[in-house]
Amino acid sequence: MRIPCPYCGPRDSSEFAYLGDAAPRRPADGDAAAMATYVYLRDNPAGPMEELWYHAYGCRAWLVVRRDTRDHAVTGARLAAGREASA
Amino acid sequence: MADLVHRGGYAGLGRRVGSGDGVVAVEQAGLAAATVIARRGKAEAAAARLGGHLGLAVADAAKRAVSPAATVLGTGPGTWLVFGGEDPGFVAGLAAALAGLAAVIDQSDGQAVLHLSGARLPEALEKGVRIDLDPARFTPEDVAVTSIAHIGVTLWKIDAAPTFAVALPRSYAGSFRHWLEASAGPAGLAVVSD
Ligand SMILES: [Zn+2]
Repeated sequence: MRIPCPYCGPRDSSEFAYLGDAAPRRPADGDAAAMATYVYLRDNPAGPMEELWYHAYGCRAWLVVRRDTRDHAVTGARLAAGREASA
Repeated sequence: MADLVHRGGYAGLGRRVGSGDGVVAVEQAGLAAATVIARRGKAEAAAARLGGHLGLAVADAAKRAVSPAATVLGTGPGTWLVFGGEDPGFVAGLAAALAGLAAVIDQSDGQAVLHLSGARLPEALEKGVRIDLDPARFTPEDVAVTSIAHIGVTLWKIDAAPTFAVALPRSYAGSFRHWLEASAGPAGLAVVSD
């Protein structure tokens, strides 16, 4: 599997560390139920999803990678930095 | 006060001169080196200031900018690895020029640098590098941070001969040399360090 890092170009997935679903956002402090959901509950889609990958053996940036969970086809990647501002 | 002498990362591993028919590796000792990491939101300003200070056009990209006095390598978003000559004030000069825009960390004793050349270098690199080094795809303007034999390296091209340069943390110099001897040795490798 190859991941198209926007800084480095296409790279083997072995250069990356996987975190998981990019969708969850940390809730405000004090909301225990929302925090439990944020920490524990994940969707498990069959199809395209956005995930966080860290380019550990490359530019050391976090990426949001769009990957199809059925066939591992990677259809895009962007830097995660600044995603809150642009979302 | 004792004068400190710069010892390169490959020093003490022994000079080993094989035929050199295939690959020649030459240690670059005594270089000043620093990482430059832009502060949040300051990548463009830091690139401009870094370029202005060194008289180079520096981009926020995996590109190389070079002058007789300095080499600037893009290693990540808002991050550069910068090499100078033996000027002991090089890193302090960078830090002063980039004050407020970037963190400058002295790596002069942290990075071990080899220049690699030779007719059979491409086939030796193929054994460890997982990116496309075809001359049409990887030029002397390009920089790659990647891994060779599980060792994180910064790789760039000095000329189209091709001569490549590889920088890595000095504590991995022995392991890298082991990979180099295993991969380039059969082609005829000469290592010139020390
Ligand atoms: Zn990258």
